[in-house]
This record gives sequence, C-alpha cells and structure tokens, in this order.
Amino acid sequence: MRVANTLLVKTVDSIDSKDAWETVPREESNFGARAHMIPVHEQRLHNLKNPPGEQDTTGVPLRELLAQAPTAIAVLRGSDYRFSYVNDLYMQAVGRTETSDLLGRTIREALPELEDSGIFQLLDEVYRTGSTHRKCDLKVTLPKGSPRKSEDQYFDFVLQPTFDLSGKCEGIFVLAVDLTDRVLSRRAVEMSEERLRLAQEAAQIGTWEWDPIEDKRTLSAQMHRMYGTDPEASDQEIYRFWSSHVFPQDWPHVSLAMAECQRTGEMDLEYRYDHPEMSLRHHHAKGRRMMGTSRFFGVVIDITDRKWREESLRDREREFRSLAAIVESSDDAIVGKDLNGTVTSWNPCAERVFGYQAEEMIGNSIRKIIPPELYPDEDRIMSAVARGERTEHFETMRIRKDGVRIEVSLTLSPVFNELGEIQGVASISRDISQQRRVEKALNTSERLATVGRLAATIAHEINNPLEAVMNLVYLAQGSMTDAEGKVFLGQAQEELARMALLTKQTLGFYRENKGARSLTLGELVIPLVAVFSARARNKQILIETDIRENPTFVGIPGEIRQLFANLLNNSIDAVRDHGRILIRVSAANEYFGEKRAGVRLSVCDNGPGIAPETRKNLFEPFFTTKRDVGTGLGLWVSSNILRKHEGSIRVRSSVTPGKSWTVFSVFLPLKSKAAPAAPGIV
Amino acid sequence: MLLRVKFRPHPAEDISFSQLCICAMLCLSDTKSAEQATVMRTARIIQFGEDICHRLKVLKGAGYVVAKCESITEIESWLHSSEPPDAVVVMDEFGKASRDAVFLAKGELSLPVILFATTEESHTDSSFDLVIPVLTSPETWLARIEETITRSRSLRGEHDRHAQKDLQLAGQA
Repeated sequence: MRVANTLLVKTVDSIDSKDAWETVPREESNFGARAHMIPVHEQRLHNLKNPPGEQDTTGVPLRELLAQAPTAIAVLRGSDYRFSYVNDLYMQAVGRTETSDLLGRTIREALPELEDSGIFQLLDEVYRTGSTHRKCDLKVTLPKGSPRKSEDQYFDFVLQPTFDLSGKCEGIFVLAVDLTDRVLSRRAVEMSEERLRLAQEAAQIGTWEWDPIEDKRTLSAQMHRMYGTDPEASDQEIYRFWSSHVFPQDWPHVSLAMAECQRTGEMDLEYRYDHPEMSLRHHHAKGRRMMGTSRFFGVVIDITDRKWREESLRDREREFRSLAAIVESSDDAIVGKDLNGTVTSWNPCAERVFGYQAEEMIGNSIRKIIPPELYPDEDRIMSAVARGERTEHFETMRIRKDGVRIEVSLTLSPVFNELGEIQGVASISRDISQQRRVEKALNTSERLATVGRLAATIAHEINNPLEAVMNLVYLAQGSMTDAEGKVFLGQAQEELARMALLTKQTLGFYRENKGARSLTLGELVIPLVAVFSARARNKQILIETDIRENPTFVGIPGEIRQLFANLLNNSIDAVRDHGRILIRVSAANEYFGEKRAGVRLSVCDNGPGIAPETRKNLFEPFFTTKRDVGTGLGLWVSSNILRKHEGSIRVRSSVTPGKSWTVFSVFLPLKSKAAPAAPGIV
Repeated sequence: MLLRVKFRPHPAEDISFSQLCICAMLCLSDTKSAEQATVMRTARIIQFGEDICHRLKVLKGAGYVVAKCESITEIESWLHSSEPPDAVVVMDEFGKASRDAVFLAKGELSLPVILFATTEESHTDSSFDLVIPVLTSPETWLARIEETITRSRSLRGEHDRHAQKDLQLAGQA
C-alpha cells in the first residue's frame, strides 16, 4: 500500500523512544487523501515535538501543524473522553467558538448533541477494543451558523486509540474530515442524475455516443429499452439489431443522414422503428460531434405519442373542417350559445332564416330572436340542458329581424368541453312556416274535398225530389182551373226556383259550364234581389238598389251571380230586424295598381259590423261567424271567383255601437282574362 | 212574340227567378206558334231510364207521345217500328246513362238523344244532342226539347230531300 502522508505524534516523555513510533497505513478516505495514524503515547499534546531523527523541515512545531491541518482534530483523554486538545477546524465542526467550551470537559458534557449520533458508542468500542475505528459519511447534527441552528453534517471519522507506555489505552485521537459540502454536492449530483434518468425514462429519451471512426456505440439503458436491444450484447450485434428494425421505407434516409452527419457534424432525423415489443414507434434522433473528437453524442426521443397526437389532431382538424363545412352549408339554422344564452356561433342558414348576420348575433343574447312571452320556456329549457338533461326536439316560435314570427322546429344539444363539462348548447332550427302552410293548405284541401263530396251527395239527394216537385207543380198548375189555386202554385214555383238556386249555390259548389261573356251587373243584381226578397221580408229588411252606371264587362254570369248572392246573403244574415241594405253598382277604377277601368258593386249594411280581428280571416276557408248555419266557404269561394276575374274585394266596417256598418266593395275590370270556358271554381 | 224573345233564357246561363216566372206564364199561354204546336202534337219520344222526377208526365202533358223503354231491345223495336220516334230521352240515373241507347238511336235513325243530367259533370257530355242540367224548370227544358226536335226534323227533311235528289240524279245518270 502506498503511503502518501505520515503523521507522527510523540509524547514528551517518550520522545527519545524510537519504538514508540509506528506507521499505520490508512485506507483511502472518501476524498482520496491518505493518512497514517500512529499510536500516541503522550497525554499532553502541547508538548508535541518532532520525532527524533526527523527534521522539522518546515520549522513549524507539530502542534501548529495539527492546528493548521485541514481536518478537525481532537484528543480525548481517559475513559470519560475528556478533551485535552482541539484544533480550530474541530471547533468549527462542532460549532463552538471557545476552546474552554471543550477542553477539560468530557465529550458527553461538551457535546451533548452527539448523544444520538452513535459517536459515544463508537468511542466506547474503540476504548474497549483498542482498535482504530473509521466511519465514513457519518451524519451528525450539530449547531452551526449564527444564530446557531442545528444542521446535519457529514464527517469521515477516524477514532484512533492512544496508549500509555504500558500499552493501556488512555485516550482517543479523533480525526474528523468535514464532508458536508461534498456529501451534499454529491447527493445533489446523484439526485440530479436520478432526476435526469427518470426524466429521460419518462420522456422516453435515450442517450447515445457513437464513434464513427472506431464504429463503436454506447447506449444508455433507456436507449436499449427504446430499441429493444440487449445491453449485454456486443456493439455489432446491437447495431445489426437496430438497423434491421428501422422501418424499411425509412432506412435510405436514415443511412443517408448518418453518412451526412459525419460531414456536417450534426444529426437530426426522424424515422420509424419496428420495436419488437411495442410495435411501430417514431424516433427523433438528434446529436452532434463532440468538440475536438470524432465522437458524436446525442439523444433519441420517442415521439410516437406526439406523432399520434399530431395525426389525431390532423384527423380532428379534418373532421372539424368537414363538420364546419356541413354546418356552413346546412339548410338548418345552427346556432351555438353559452349557458347564459349568449350566441357563440351563427351559421349562414341562420342568417337566412332569422335575417341577422353573424356579426349582429355573436356575443349578443339569443333572446333577440325569441318572443318575450317565451323567455320563461327558454330559461327552463336551457337550465334542463345545463343539468345534462336530454331534450326532445320541439316546435316553437321565433322572431325574424323584420319582426315576422316564424314557426321553427328546434333541437337542443349540450356542447361539452375537453373535461366533459357542459359549456354551451347547440341549437338546430328549421323554419317550418312553409311546411305549416302546406299542411294547412292540405288540411283545407282535404276538408274541402270532404265537404265537396258531402255536398255533392246531399245535392244529388235533394235535386231529384226538388225537380220532381217542380215538375209536379208545373203539371198541377196546368190542370188548375181555380184562379186562387193558380196563384198559390205560382208562389210555390217561385219558392222552388229560389230553392233550386240556393241549392246550386250552397250545396252544389256551383260549376259554371258556360264560358265568359259580356254582361252587366245590373242584369244579375235585380233578379237576385228578387230571389232574396222573401228572406228580407221576413226580417223586415229594406233592400235598396242603386244602379248608377251599369257598364258591360266580361265575366262568367253564374259565378258573378254566386259572388253577389254570397255577399247579399251574408248581409241579410248580419243585419238585425228592420235593418237596411244598400246595393250600389257604378263605373269605377280600381283603387290600387294599374287603376283599371271596371265596375264596382258595393253591398252596404247597417249590421253590427265586423271586428278587425275577424276581418283578417274573412276569406279563409271554413271561417265563419255563423256557427250554426254557415259553411265558412262563401267568402272564400267569392275571393276565388274574383281572383279568376282579376277583380278585388275590399271590406270596411265599423263596430261602434249605434253607428255600426259594413261595406263589401267588389271591383271587376271591364276586360279580364277571366275564365275561358269550362273550369269550375272549386 | 217580342216579349218571348226578350225574356227567353239565354242559352249560356241558367234561368233566373223573374225570367222563370215570365217564361212560365208565356208557356202556359196560348201564344205558341203553329209550328211548335204541331211538333208537340205529333212528336214521339222514347224515354229510357227510371223517371223519378215525373218528367214523363210533363212531356205527355205537353202533348208528346212518350213510350217508356226499360231495355235496349225495346228501344230497338221502337226504332224499327212503322212510326219511329223523333227523339230519345235518357234519364241519367247517377250519371250512368246507357251508352248503348245513345249508339243505337244515333246509329239507326240519327235521332236526337236528350239527356236529363243528374250531375254537373254530365253537362258537358258531347255524346248527347241536348243535355238538360239539374233543376232546370219544366218550361225551359220543354222549350229546348221542342227546339231540338224541330231542328232535327228539319235536318232530316233536308237530308231526305238531298237523298231523293241524289237518287234522281243517279237514275238520270
């Protein structure tokens, strides 16, 4: 064993005794220094001198050497280990400032904080056995700093027994090297390395070294795991394994990059690797030549997860773009809103359906398009969706920008964030106003067809007996000789003619089988007034006819007659007993549009009037105010007749009590494309 | 005569009440022309189909000789009799007038076929020479039948004359 240094300690009494000097080799300490301790026979170190024959080359007394030694040194005497010498480093190590705190006192008295450190037991062991004891990295908690604070410190201890001349152990030479800084540094490095190792493992980063000149590689443990290679295998075996598992299609650019990096000194490439256990992985290798050498150092990062995430992200982006395109081109209004009802998205169809542009709605409340009376419903539904409750699609009302209310079919769906929390609501609206109109028209059409079939059946059943009666009365009148009887039969014929006409008008949905011709309203009005005169008489209604002008126009007589009969019939129904009806025919121009020339027929009465809310529905099929007797078809049929004749109808009315009145004013142009021949009005 | 022309119902429209009354009075008066009176006295009519509206009586009351047929065979025998009818009247029961009767009458003697319609649709049936719409007053339809028979006789007379001339010409040739 190589002796690097020798410390000689000699008591004053044995200074001349050469035998008293021994050299004891000491194993290398933690920091590599070597010290050799010699049993000391002297009890008083203040008399320390150089051993005989040895020159004090430094000219410094041994005591001072000990004092200046780079280690903490103390000499304990007796079985109670009383301090007889301490150097400054020892004082510092144990956190004392005055030597009097230690010298002359037992170690247990002076340093009670060492009680639990195991030092005292070691001293006892050394004293009892007389053998040197070494302890490395012993942790001792000692006061340190100002203010004093207990801190963990680490020492390499050497406890060397000292003997008297009889060979009896009479004390212990303590040598302590303060390793605290080194231990802490080493532990920090170890911790850092461990953290790095863990980080590399977690991040799936392997490190490598490669010397292309010697064609030799060194891989980290993580690198082996990433390659699935055996760390014990030879370098060539590892290389062959690795190169055979590089994805074949990537091998050309991998080998090219490896060759290229020798020229550039840089390596940066990605490739796929067919891992024997983890299937296909994506690796990113990055490295560079170490300064002044031919060796490369680098890392390989497993970027499989990142690739997958990127691919997944691309898939999601594609899906999102696809969905966005669907939303953009959808024929449904798709609107996103947060849980407070603030609009977050507004697709083009929503712009078309509701009339608001996206910039007018995004950031604003959805209530902009909700009728105020439906706010509570909206709140209730939003709350339900926010609670995660499922809502079925429903039909409701919305308001367009122009104020028009539209019927929509609405579906609400919760929108979740990445955490699965509901962050908003997507609503899909479809304008079903047109659908409703079609349904209503179909419904009306079906009802009309039903009524038509019913009316045709009833008409047929009534026509035959009615015509039979007409024929019989005709025969009876021919054979009647009594004058009064003839009058009665004449009146019966009058009533029968009226019945026949009414039957045609009300039940037959009169179909004119003749074409349009020139006619005047006057020629139609006067006979019809006569037909209705009996009813008027019953209610004591005064019907006045005022034919101011009677221009000729083109029309279908039967239809115009039915139109007038409907108006007159309604007036008779509306007017109370002793009421008045004025029928006026005059030349006129239409109020609006081209102001064509034509003829106007006005039927005025002083009935109770028609309320405004009723007026707007007057020309709807099946709308009637005469619940018991009306079919609700009269004015609807009349409006169709007018449309066919390119005419128009206007209603004015007052419901003021005592001053109520109603005027139906019909305009018929002198020339129209009215109705070639044949088609009926129903 | 002027009054009659004035108030006669227009062929393109139904009769109104006032017109109806006036026509009735005129029809019942003795102002018929001699020609029409002759028509009524001499005309023979075959009626086919059930007469639930008592039209047959009206026709008889107006002076027509009316034979009621209940089958095609009966019509055929009438058509081949020594005194063939002047017209065939068909009752359109539920709109199903017998087409056979029409073809027979038109094919054998080119007789006018008159339909008493019961539905609006049959008004436009061009198979008939005259269609009487539902709820037409007896005065009106009697007048129309009369006109139809008169016109038919006239046409047939002309046809016969032309036929005779043709025969004479053929004989001369």
